[in-house]
Amino acid sequence: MNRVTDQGIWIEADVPLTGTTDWPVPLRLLRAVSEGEFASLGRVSPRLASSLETIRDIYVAWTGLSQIPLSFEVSSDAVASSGGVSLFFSGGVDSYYSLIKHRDEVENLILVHGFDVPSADAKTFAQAEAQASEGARLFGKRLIVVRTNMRWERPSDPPLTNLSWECPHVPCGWMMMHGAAMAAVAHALSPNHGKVYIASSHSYADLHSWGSHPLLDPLWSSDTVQIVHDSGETRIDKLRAVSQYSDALARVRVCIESFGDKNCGVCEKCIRTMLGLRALGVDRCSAFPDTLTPQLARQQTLNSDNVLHWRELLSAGLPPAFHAAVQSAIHSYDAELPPRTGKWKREVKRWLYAARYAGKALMSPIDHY
Amino acid sequence: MNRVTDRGIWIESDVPLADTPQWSIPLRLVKAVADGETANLGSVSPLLASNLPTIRDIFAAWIGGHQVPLNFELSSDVTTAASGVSLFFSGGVDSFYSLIKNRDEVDNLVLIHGFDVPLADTRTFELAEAQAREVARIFGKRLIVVRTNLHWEQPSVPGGWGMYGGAALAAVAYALTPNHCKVYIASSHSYTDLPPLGSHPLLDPLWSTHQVEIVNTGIETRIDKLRVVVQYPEALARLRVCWENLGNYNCGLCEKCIRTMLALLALGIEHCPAFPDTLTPELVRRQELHETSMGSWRSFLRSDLPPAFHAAVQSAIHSYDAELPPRTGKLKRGIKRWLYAARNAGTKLMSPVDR
Repeated sequence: MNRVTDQGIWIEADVPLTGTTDWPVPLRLLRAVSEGEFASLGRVSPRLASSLETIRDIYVAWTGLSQIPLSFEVSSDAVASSGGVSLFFSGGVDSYYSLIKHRDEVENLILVHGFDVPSADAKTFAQAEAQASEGARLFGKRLIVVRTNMRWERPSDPPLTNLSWECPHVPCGWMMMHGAAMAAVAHALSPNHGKVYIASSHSYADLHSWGSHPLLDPLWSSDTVQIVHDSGETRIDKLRAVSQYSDALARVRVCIESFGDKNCGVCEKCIRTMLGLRALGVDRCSAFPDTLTPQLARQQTLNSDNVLHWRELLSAGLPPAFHAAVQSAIHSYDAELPPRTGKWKREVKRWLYAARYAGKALMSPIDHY
Repeated sequence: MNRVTDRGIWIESDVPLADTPQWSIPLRLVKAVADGETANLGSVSPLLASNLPTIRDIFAAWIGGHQVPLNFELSSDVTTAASGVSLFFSGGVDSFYSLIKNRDEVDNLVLIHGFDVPLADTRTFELAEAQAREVARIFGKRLIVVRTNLHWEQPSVPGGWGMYGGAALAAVAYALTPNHCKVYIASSHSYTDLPPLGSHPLLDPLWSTHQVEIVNTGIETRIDKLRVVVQYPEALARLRVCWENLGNYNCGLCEKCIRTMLALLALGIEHCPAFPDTLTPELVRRQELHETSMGSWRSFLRSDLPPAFHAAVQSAIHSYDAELPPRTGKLKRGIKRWLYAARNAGTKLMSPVDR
C-alpha cells in the first residue's frame, strides 16, 4: 500500500502514487477559502498555477466567503505525463454512462473509499468494491481502489445510519468540495494516467453552483494530468444508453441512503432513476427492489438540486399515472407545499401552507419601502 | 474597405480580413443546432474541432436544440498566428473594466457597428466611434471599426440575439484573424449569476482556434468593475451603457442606465458627465426588473446607497419578487397592484388543488 500525506490528510492505494506537489493544492486552497485565511499552497505546476486565481474567484462567488490572497511557488520540475486514461467510478448512472461513452479510451476505473462511503465502514465498501470490480471486469478495465480520510476525517463523524451530506469540518461543505477532492485524488494518482474523466451529475441546462462543474473541473488540470468534466447529456439520455447494457444496468448503484450492493428503492434518487427506467420501458431492473408506485413518486420532496431531473421526466414518455405523480411532485415544489401523501393530515397541512402564502400575497402591495 | 461574405451575411472593416470561409463556422453551427440539421462546417482547426461537440451540446441544452451530426474535415492550415491582442469594446462598464484590467496586453479595441447600434443609425454610431477613438487614444490602443449585418440578418434561434451574439462575436474574431492571436470578450455577468447566454465563460474559450485564442474576461460583479473604472475619470466620462439609442449618449431613464447610475451613487459618485442628472428614488422605484439583471439589483442592497435610494431599490425588488407592477405613486397604479395581489393570492390559495 502506497500513501501520500499532507497536513493530516492522506490518500492511499495499491498503485504508484505521485512524486509531484500538485495533489494537496485543491485541498489547501479550499481550506484557505473556507477559513478566510492567507493560503500557502506550496509548489504548483505551471498550468495549475495559472488557474488558481480563477478557481478561488469562483469559490468566493459561490460560497459568499471573503477574497483571500494566494501564495504559491510555480514549480519548474518537468514531470512527463503518463499515458493512460482514468474515470472516477462510483457505479452510478453517470459513471456507467461515461464508461460506455469513452469505453475505447478509458483504461482505469477509480473507486474511492472515503467519499460516499465513510472510511470506517469497511463492510459497505467491500460490497461497493465487489460491484465495481464486476463492472471493471465486464468492460475489461483495471479497477484502482483508493482510500482517503479527506471527507470523513475525524473519529467523531456521524455513523453511517445518520449520514449527513454536509460534514461540518469539510471546507466549503462536501457539495462544494467533492470536485476538488477528486482533483486531489487524480493528481495523487498521476503516475497512472495523463487524463481523468469526471462524470457530470447535471446537464448543461443546469449549471447551478456545485463542487464538480464544467467551469471548475478542467481548471484543476496540471501539465501532467488533464481533468475533463464529462457532460452533455441529460440523466434520461444517460439511462437510455446504460439500459442497452443489461450487465451494467443490473449493477447500477445510485442510492445515497445505503451504499451497499443494494439500492434502497425508496429515496428520491432511487425513485428518480426507477422513473427514468420506467419511461424507457424497463419495468423491472434487478438493481432495484420492486417499490415504485405513483404514490411513492408523488410524495417526494424535491429541491433545487434535483428538480431539473424531475422536469426532464415530464417529456420522457412515462405511463399516465406516473406522469401525473411526477407533475404533482413538481407542482408541490413550485408552489412550496409539502408533497401529497394521500393522508388527510397532509392535505390539511397543504391548505394551511396555501392560506399563509395567499395572505402574504394579498398584503404584498404594502411594502414599507 | 475589406469585406467577407457568406450566405448574405457580411463583415467589413478597414483592416485586413481573413480570406477563408472559416470565419462563419460559429454562425453555421448555432443555426444547425437550432434547425436540427447536420452542421456542414468545412475545414476546421484541430483545436476547435476537439471542442465542437461540447459547443454543440451546450447550445443544444440551452436553446432546446438538437445534438446534430457535425460534418467537417480537419484543417491542415499551418499559417502562423498574427501577433496582437484585441478586446471587443462597446464602451460600457464591462468593456472599460476589461480594458483597464488587461491594459498592458491589449493592442486593439474592436468596435462593431451593427450590434447594439443598428447599421441605419449612423448618427449614434458616429458619436460612439468618436468616443471610442478618444478612449483608444488615451489608452494608447488602435481602434478597429467593424461593420456587419450579423445582428439584423440573424436566423431564428431560440433565445434570439442573447444566444446568437456569442457566436457572432467569435465570427468577427475569426474574420479579423490577420490582426490578432488573442481576443478578449468582456463578461456581462459574474460567477454568482451566470445564466445561459451566447457569451459565457464556459462557451467563449471553446471557440479558440490555433490562430485565435478567445478569452472571456472580467467575471467580477458590476459594482466591483465600476469601483475600478471610477478611478479613471477620462474613462468614466465616456461610458456608454444605454441600449435605447435615443440620440443622447446615455438616456438616463432606461433600466440599464439607472442600474449603472445607482452603482456609481453607491460608490459615492453623484454626478457623472456621461449621464444626465435624472436619478431620483422615484425613478428607481418604478423600474420593472428582469431576471437577467436581478443579480446586480440585489447586490445594491449590500452597498452603501443613501437611505432613500436603498428603499427605492428594495421596493423595485419587492415588486419583482411579489409579481406586482412597480410603484409609480399614481392612484391607478396603486389599484392595479391590489388587483394583481388579489389574483396572486387566489392562485396561491388554490395551489393545493393540482389535479
